[in-house]
Amino acid sequence: MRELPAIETEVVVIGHGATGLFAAIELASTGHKVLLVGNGTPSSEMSTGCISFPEEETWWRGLGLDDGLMQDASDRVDQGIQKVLTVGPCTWEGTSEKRMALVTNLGTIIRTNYAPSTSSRHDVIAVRGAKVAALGFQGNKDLDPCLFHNMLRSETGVEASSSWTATLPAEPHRPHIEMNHGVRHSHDALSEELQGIDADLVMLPPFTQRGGHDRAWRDLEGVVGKRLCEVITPLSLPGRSLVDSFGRAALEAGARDLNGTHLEMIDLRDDDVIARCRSGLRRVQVRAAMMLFCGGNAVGGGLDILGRDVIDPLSFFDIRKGAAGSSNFDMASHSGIACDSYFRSVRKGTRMDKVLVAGAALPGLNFANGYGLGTCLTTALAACRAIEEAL
Amino acid sequence: MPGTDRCLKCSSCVRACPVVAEIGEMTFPGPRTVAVDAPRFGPSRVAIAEVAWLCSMCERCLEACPSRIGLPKAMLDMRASLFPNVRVRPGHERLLGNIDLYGLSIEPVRKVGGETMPKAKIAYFPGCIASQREVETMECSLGLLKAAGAEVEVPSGLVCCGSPLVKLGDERRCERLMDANLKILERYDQVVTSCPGCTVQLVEGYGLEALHITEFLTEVTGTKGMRFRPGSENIRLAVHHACHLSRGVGPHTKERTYELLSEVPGIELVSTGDETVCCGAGGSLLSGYPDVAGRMAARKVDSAIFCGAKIITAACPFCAMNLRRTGGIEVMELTQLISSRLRFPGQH
Repeated sequence: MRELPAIETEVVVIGHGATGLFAAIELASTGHKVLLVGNGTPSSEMSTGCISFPEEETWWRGLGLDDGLMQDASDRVDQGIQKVLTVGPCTWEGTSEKRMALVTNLGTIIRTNYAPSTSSRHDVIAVRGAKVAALGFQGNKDLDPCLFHNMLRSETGVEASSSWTATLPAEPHRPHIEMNHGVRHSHDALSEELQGIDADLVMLPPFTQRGGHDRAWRDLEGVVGKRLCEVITPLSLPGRSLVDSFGRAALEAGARDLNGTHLEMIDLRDDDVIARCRSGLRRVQVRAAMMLFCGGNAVGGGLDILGRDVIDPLSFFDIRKGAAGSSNFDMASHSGIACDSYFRSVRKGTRMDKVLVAGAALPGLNFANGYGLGTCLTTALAACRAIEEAL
Repeated sequence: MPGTDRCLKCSSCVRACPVVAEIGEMTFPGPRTVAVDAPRFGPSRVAIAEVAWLCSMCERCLEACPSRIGLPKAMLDMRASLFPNVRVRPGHERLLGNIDLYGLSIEPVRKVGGETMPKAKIAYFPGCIASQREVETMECSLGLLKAAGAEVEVPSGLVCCGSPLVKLGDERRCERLMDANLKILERYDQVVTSCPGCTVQLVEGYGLEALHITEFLTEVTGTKGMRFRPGSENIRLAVHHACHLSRGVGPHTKERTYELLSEVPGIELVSTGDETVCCGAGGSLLSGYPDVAGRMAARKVDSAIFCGAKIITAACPFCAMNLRRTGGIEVMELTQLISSRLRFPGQH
């Protein structure tokens, strides 16, 4: 198999989910040359997009990481998110003082200690006092505005106005239109309809495709001048918008994205880390000073409803034998990837420590329903700091 | 191994499917139902056979699946298990008839190849479409390869690469074709193709060193040998990334396409936002359901026109043919577009 021209970079980030993208944003915005290698749909895209920080987190103590490092990282996550996502004007203080939620304009909730919900009630409660409306598309099963109205009234007492539209989609059997420039005409029709609705916040069914989702909703919000929320259905988890926004920010920060390429083998024999990747029918070699592995979905502990292994990590990555210290990685890949040696030994400056692991690929970091996003982002920042120190 | 047991029933593949988006879930239930659910708890095989050939094999579902199930492969397995016992669509019947009669998926109108060059170590594999229907693609590709300094010949006696048969599920016929081609192609060090479907089949099916022409021109020869006429006016150009190129051969081909286009003066690229969406030609959809393929192509052409593009280009003769069927916009295969701006010796 012919190889593609090799690529040299400073840091190669494996995985383009929330963790990998967030780390790429951080590293690229501090002036490092970052290459992102990612393939397929990350598990964070299927999450609720709710970035929560469980209280009294101590999971890292067992891994030899110190509290100071993690505390610092978690503060920086907060700043980082606010840079990346547009945080909406709505804050909500619940019954407990600690329970405060900031809602981004993409329907993504940050800093809440509530159990993430798979309904969109959070968004609506967040703007208590604001006028809420729901607009269903005829032929689209994902949002029934009458049902939404009834549920909202029974659960929260908020009265939402509800209506149906036939404007979009043009044909009832085409529920998910692509929000590209080419279909702006239907976009325009929808914005007119939305402008006519007397509400501050309008719930809409999911109608955009993966990729370009973020741009489409922002565009529409800009035109309409109202907050728009996509209802959360199995097809429209706000995790998608979160990953979309992170992806855009990573590119803007200057990271190079090798989308559609996946890691096959890590070669640790030389001074650099060599990631042997696959791009379709061809192989491509990436030589980097450091590697950050964030492929949580590909190793045990990634996406999973029950939190067990989804895919056997060994079938995914071939870690070349004979490398100094690679037995560590080898052993680790049998049971998720052990992080202690990576986080700790990176400060010892030995050769092996050029591969760091963050996010759901770490053992013990598997959470149902996107619970772990805050934690994953924290580990991403901790790893970034370790990389900055090492470089 | 497709790994269909990992399915979470999240329907991401249904949402990503361009055929579902075009004709609706009621007509084509999507990759999950056909490729994952049907083999395990499927109702009747007759019912599934009605829809199993509606997939255009664009591999978008593979990208969308959070469990990374090999959905396109599962779909092919499904088709291969159904194929011997179903009555195929009239278009597929014609295709199979042509394979049996001529060894090509379409009725040949001209003889191709045979001009041997003494030193040529590189074979150009035109494929059925570029050799018989989109003939300009073949001529322009050969012209570009020569201009770039490569010694290329088109061997005589080549038959269809077998990709359409793999997509139909007919493994028996496919093997016969592969034997015939392999005897010829083995003599060369390198095979260059125009059609991405052929590239994938030659690499994965035959195990040959085959490169798509976009890869060959950028990585092997380089474009230094090509001289271009200065562009008098800017053409607004929309790009269509063929599925079997951008997802099959690899995402790096998108960069290669833009690299080639950046060499050509007088081109203004228009972003349509749906460059990687399927045009509907692939996966035997065009031969089996030309109406569906036409509607999908029309949607892409609509989008390009809306963005103000005057020409749409694709680095695949099959996509170019399908897009041209709509008649809405000028369609040029990539090599054709590049050649049209080439300056030949003696020309000013």
